[in-house]
Amino acid sequence: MSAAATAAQPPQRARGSGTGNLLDRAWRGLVAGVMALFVVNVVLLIAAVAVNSVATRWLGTWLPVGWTLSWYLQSWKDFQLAGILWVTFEVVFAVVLVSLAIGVPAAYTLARRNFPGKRALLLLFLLPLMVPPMTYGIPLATVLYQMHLAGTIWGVILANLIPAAPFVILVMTPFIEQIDPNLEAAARVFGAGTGRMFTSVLVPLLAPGILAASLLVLVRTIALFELTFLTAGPDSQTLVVALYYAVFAAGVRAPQSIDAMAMIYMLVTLVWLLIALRFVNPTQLVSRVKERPVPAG
Amino acid sequence: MSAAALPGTGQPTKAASRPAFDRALLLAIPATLFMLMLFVYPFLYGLWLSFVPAKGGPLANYHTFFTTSDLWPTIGTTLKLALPATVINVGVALPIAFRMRVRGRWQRIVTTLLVVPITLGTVLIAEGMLNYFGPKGWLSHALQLVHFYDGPIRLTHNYWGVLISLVISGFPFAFLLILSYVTGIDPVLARAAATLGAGSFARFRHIYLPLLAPGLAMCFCLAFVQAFSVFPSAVLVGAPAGPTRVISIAAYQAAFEQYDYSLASAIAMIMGFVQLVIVAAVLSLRGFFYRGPVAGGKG
Amino acid sequence: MRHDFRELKLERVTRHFAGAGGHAFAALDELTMTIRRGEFVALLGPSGCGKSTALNCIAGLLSLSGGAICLDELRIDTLPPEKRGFGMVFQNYALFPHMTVERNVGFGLRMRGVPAAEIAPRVARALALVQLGGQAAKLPGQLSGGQQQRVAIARAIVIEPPLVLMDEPLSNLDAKLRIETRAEIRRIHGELGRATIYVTHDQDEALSLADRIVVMRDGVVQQIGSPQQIYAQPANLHVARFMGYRNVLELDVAGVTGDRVELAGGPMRIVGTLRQALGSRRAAVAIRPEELVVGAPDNVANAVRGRVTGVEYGGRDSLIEVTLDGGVRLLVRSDARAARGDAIALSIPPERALVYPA
Repeated sequence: MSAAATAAQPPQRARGSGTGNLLDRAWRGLVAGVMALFVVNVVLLIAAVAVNSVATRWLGTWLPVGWTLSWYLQSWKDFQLAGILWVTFEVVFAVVLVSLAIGVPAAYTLARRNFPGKRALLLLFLLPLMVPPMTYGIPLATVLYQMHLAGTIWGVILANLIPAAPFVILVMTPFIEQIDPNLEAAARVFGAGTGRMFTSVLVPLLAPGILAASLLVLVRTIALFELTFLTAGPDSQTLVVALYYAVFAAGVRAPQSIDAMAMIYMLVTLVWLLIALRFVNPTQLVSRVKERPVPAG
Repeated sequence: MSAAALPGTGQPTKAASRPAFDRALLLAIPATLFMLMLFVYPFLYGLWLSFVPAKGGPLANYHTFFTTSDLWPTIGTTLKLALPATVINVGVALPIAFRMRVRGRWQRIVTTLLVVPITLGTVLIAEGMLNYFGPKGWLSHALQLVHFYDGPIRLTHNYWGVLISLVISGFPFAFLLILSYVTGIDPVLARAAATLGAGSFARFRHIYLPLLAPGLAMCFCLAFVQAFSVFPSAVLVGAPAGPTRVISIAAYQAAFEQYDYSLASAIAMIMGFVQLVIVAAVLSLRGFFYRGPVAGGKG
Repeated sequence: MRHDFRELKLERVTRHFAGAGGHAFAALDELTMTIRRGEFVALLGPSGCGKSTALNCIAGLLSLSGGAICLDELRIDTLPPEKRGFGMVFQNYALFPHMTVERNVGFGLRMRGVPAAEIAPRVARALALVQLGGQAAKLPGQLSGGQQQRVAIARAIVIEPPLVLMDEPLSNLDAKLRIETRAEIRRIHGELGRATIYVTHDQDEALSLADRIVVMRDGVVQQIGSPQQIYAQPANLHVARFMGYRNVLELDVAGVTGDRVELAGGPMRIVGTLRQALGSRRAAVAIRPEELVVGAPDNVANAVRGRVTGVEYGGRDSLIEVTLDGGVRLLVRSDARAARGDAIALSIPPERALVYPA
């Protein structure tokens, strides 16, 4: 059939219902509009903090009178940020390491074995993510005070581990499940001992999942406020708690100084977030509690 | 690590090789003990503590809570913030996640943009809101510029400030969770529905919505739990003495300002109980819908 | 939407996809064909040949990059799938997991606003047609693969579509069930007489089901013809290979007389039948294993000699690998007894040795 023949006898073009298309478009526009509204406001909100942190004076105008970086220096001194950053670093890395050390083996068991009480165990690991930190944080803080751990960095680390370890388990369990158990069997058939099997087969296979889980825990722990707030003492504050106190006591210090601190906090989080996003699907950042059918057999 | 061994290697039959106790289970013990000690024990301890008040009978704390005028209304205050925030977050996140279900450049960009507010945390959002939504912030300027609203806007240090902050921090969470549920639904089902004459709305109504219902219920619960425990933003951008005196503030003050750990534990338990009631209600609604796999047929 | 048509015309239907490195490639390149009322057409080819792309274009699940699709005088390629009114059976069945069998089958009728009183008997009739009368209240997850398959068919035909589209509907079934369901599809097509387009990579399915077969490769139609034509007279070497001409020898052209071609290579001289105009002095001859004859009386011209180098026992007959004196290997399907190392002679019927340009 040549193009000429088609042109000579143009078939009538069928139409979709026009109103349906219009409604569809209006709806899409609305959805895109709401999304844009949200993103624009969040970006401006962050920009407002950024601009104020480098402003000499900014009162009720579009842009500040002049620009300066001195607030960062002042903030660094006033809030003793060096110490706070060091504490944050210690807490976050301790939490990542310990949660991996206890979470990954537990995830392995949950992924590979069926045993009586498995559902109860799953519930035990799921609950800390379902119950808000405030609810269990207050009794926990009470217990930690009795053990003289509250107010120390150890108390802060222990408290932050409560949501972190289950999070590692929830991220790693499906990851381990999708690794073919035959690979482990094959390694054994070809003569790998348990230790060799673990180091030469399981660890390399798990590495991407472990990397993802540790980055996620890291980002979440930096931002986790309540538990640190309830358990930290003056020497064991992390950045987010220090920021809270700074904002709470606004008026004591210049607002620009507080915003400079907020920017430092944001940069710390964003750097890790960007690293994390290179390796992780963003939907994994929220706790994945997808209900999966309990594997049979 | 030897517990990772597969049972059966080097032993004659599977039945004989099955040890009375599977050593792989040992791997779960550190995590289990940890959770028992740091989560279950404090929780039970708190429950017990709430029944042994400094003075009065075992129920004195609960009696105090429900008769003191700056305590029991915190339940209502918190619900008045948490329920609308959750409904907005889930309700807005659903259509947006649905539009973003197709894998591609836009999905990646939008999800990345939306992740940022989650990780910044509530404290930073509160500080940003004080700048941006404040009476002398950019928003106020912009609204006055277009003469949309000429007075100084009041979006901070009141109910609206807290609600906005709950939406900013909670919406991305709801969006990402729903997105992961939506993308878990096999798109071939919608295509099949299309060939059977279902238009885009009918496909959403008859295919996606019923299959999403369990996920939406779960998402609603998680988003609600998050909103119900609102604390830093209620203090920083709310009016913590009045309209946004939420239950977390009451619990915190009891524990760390009055040093009444017993009362604080009671408030924490009441908080947990109210959440549990809402969560149970939502999850039982889910029973009306289908539960099961969301793939089409087998394969 | 209509219930019947005279012909469905595909005119230069083309679909591009973005390939690796960003440049577009044509998954389907200028497919032109006409499907008549009641006809059973199979789109046949290896995976990636464009057959599923073609089906999805007809269904409206993929938009066209070029060309037109017309149902009689009505141009339909701009319509969304829900406005075309075709029935479709998907590879993984795509049954709605949250609906019972009955609601799955009735879905298309509900979408069309058919009164409830009318839906029930029509669903029951469709389920009876696919022999699933007792399963109406079950969920798809409770059915076997074969039963799910039949629900999918019932769901597609209950709306009485002018055209039924089937995308490899049997590929997830085991061998025995596949043959049974094949017969079932043939029977249903016979009873309802609905035009059907059936995508498959299995020659046997296409040969046994279709009135007409479209063989595709790399997005381009290679041959359109009846099963007999496709089987016996492949239009080119690709079709021949795909249709089971497993012996392909590349030889020099020694002479052409009419449609008879004499080919030579080393000690071999083979006379074959020309199927496609030759462009050079080299040609390929394609022969089915079952059309070679074991044993060659001295006066038969078209014969080759060699040794048995392998035997694959297949019950009624065996597949014998013969290495010719020149080192070329041929496969022969025969009930003759043979053992490794035996000397063997094969004769080739000239009309069954098809010659194509190399």
